[in-house]
Amino acid sequence: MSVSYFGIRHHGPGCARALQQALVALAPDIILLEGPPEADGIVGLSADPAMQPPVALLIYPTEAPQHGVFYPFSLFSPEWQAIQHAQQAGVPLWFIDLPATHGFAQAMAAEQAADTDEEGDAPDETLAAWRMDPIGELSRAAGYEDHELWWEVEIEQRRDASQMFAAIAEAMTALREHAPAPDLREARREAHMRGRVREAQKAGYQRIAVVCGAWHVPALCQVATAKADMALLKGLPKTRTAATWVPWSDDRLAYASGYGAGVSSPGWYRHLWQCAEGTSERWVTRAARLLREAGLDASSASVIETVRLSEALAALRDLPLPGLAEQQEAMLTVLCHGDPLPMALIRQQLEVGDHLGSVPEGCIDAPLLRDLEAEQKRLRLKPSTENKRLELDLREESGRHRSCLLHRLNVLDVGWGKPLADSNRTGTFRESWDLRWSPDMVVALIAASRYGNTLALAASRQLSERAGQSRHLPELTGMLDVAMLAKLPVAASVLLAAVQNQAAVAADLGHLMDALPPLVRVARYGDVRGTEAASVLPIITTLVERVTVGLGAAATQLDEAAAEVLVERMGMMQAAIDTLDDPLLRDDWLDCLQVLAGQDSAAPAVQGYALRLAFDRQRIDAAQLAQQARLALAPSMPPAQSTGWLAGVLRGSGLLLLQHDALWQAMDSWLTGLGDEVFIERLPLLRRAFSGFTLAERRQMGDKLKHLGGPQARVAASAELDGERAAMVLPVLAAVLGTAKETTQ
Amino acid sequence: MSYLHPIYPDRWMALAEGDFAWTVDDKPIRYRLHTVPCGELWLKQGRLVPCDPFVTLQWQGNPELQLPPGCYPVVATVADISEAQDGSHLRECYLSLLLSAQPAVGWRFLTPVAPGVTAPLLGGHEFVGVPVDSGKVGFVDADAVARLMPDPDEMDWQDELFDNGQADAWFARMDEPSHLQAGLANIILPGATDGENLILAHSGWGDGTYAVVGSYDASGALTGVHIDLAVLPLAPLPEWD
Repeated sequence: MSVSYFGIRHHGPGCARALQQALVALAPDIILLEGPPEADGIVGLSADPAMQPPVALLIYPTEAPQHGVFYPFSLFSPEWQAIQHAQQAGVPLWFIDLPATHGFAQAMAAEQAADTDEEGDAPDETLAAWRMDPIGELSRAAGYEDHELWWEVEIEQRRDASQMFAAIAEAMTALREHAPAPDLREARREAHMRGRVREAQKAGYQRIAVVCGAWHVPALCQVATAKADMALLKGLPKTRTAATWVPWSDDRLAYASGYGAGVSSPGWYRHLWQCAEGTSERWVTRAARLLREAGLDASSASVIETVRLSEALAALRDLPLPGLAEQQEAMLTVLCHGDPLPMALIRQQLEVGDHLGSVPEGCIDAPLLRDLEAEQKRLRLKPSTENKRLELDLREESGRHRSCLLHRLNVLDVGWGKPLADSNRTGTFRESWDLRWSPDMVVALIAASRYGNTLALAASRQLSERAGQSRHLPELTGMLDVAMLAKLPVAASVLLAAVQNQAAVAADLGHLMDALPPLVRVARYGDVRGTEAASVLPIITTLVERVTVGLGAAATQLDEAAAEVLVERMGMMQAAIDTLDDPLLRDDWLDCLQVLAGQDSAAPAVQGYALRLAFDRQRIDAAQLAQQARLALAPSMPPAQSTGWLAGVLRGSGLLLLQHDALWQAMDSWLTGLGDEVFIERLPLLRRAFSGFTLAERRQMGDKLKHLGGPQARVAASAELDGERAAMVLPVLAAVLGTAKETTQ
Repeated sequence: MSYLHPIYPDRWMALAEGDFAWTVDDKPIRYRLHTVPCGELWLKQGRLVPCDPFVTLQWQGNPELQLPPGCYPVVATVADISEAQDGSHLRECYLSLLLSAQPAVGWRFLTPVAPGVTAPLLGGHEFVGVPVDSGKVGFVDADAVARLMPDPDEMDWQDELFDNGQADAWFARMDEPSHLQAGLANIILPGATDGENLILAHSGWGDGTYAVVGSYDASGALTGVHIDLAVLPLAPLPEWD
């Protein structure tokens, strides 16, 4: 009977290749692999041809899936090669790590204690504390700043790997002799692994291969009594867990996981795994192809020179082969002509990569994941880890269904799609989404499984639950908007009731104003999606009435910051009223603004902005505007008040200034009358007021300034209409307006 | 003479026209190919020089191929590789000198060598290519170059001919869209009395060493000489991918 220990580094292709050879030579009758024993029952699925790495084992507590831990495998992971060897050789494979259930139970207990504010000892061990980076320690001892570089030089580029595992074990033994004793969690893990080795020996296996992190090898080889190990493991808390395979992605391999630190260049490691020969040539050729796809010049001569330079660098550094560092330097110098931007592309697309693994159909043991898979197929929305923009036409059924799916996922905290800020939902029936799938989003789906077995049901129930918990009116109306977008009628009715209740009792004017825009969207565009939305109109009417009644009082006693917030809300409110296009509500609102514009007790910015909104909608004429301007910008007014008023009036657009000389002149007189100190003090606010102007407006203002008061301006002002000349443009205008026939007749 | 390889229609596209698609590394690639006639090349003694005219062309002693003397049409095969296939990104794929209209069924690498030099023995997929360092390739008659080009000791070709700042500079002609097409040029040699000329093209993605390929008809007769500018995403034979 023999026990062979293979200390590996997770995700190392050189290590994986050496392990592959070592396992073939040893022909073990059982493989014991560091990993969660909860996955023993599903490890056989890895033999399915549809299982394509990168994939990950996900172990999670069924009561709190958010604590789940991933164990990712790439093609070049030694663990994956061990699993594949076991499958092909038909020998059993046991995962021997400490079951994840104990860690979960501790984490959940700690969370519960924190939630209930119970006093108790903070957990002295966390999952993170399990992990060490022995490779980092060795590389630092060897004088390398980059531990991947050390690993690459010493392990990945090693031609003869026959003694590699013995050397790793020796190095780790030396390292552990000087390292502090393992903490309790680490000691328990190693005790559990030793126990499993004993179990295999007891079961009569003759050639036992133990594949584990290099760090653990000395601890597993050491003599320890079963009794001592059992004592360490006694009484550990447990919780119910589940295990599943999930697709993983290259970029996520770069992150820490259940297997500790990831690799920062999975694409490079995959390349090393796949290309035993011509590594440099093929790597640089792939980079050149990538640059060409991006429209950048990458000649074959550059490829050749890059390969030569990388080889020369390797020779200078006494390396057997160019590593990633040499490739990067050579590419930056030759292929990218010193420009870091193409290098960033190479880094993202090639060194990290965008591969997304796959698992067999039906392998995922979570109804919501299965439902999502079915929806993705039905709607032809393939998940990808690349950022992709998706334009949806909501007039088409497929567009509505896709939009609905993405909104439902967002309700479930699965941010696969982010609605873009410039998404135009105001009449063009289009939605823009930024899509990017991340494999760990499955955790949110698993966590949401408690709400139902389909996305629609789960999203509906989750929103309904939130509706019951929220007393915040804008939040509720926002959720109602989402419920409409996600086509969740049950949740919408629950939310509608909640909105009605809260609207009746809400006293905060800001909340009332914030609640309005989502409601208006529901009322105005709900029917585009075939959703009956008329029921929100009475609520909107109530809200507008209450805002118009309360706005005057709310606009008093405000400092500049608070006034800015109110002005922002007034803008949103105005946009909502415009969108709703209800004449009665519009009149009520504009009446309110008109009053506010003349209300001396109101904050100046609010007063100015109310005037602007009322003027833009023809409630106030130019003469009234000029009169108000003269009053607000009179020398007797405090400069702070005048500045605030001006900022309110000019908010968003400078057209008012361009078209109304009286306002311009009032502002000009006021500005020139300010003392230097006051001017400098008020300058930031003025600059902010002007910052909203478009470039064209600013240019026109410059022109206006140039000619204001000059002869041309006077001539233009005094010129009378030349009827004969004006008539010359009429035929053109008629043609443009399509009334040419009538005009000529 | 080396083995005659079969022509794979999706891999050898000299003179092809139309839309073509490949999948490389699981990614679809679509090119739209068209041909551009570049005029005729007058090979009075049949000594064809495929070269980088701006860097490697010499007065005498250029590597050359011996062909039957004659006046042959030259055609460039150009790929539109832009995503929208709207002509916004063109790359020359082949520059071809055509000896016959017979359909080609096979190809082999041709080895241009300087007079008096013996062609080296080559491995299965090795070739002696055209070294390019200026991003351009061309065909010219060795005899015409020796006879008509000015003595380089008396005139700096670079300053006086290639890049003299005038509209007739060779570089300027290459970029003139009204001539043949930007990137292609048919230039009369200085002092030509009988239309002796030089035909130029941009070299695909730029500098490199490009294979000179002979295409052959079913009877084994040479139908064309092509500079393969390595733009297509696949090797000419599947076993070379």
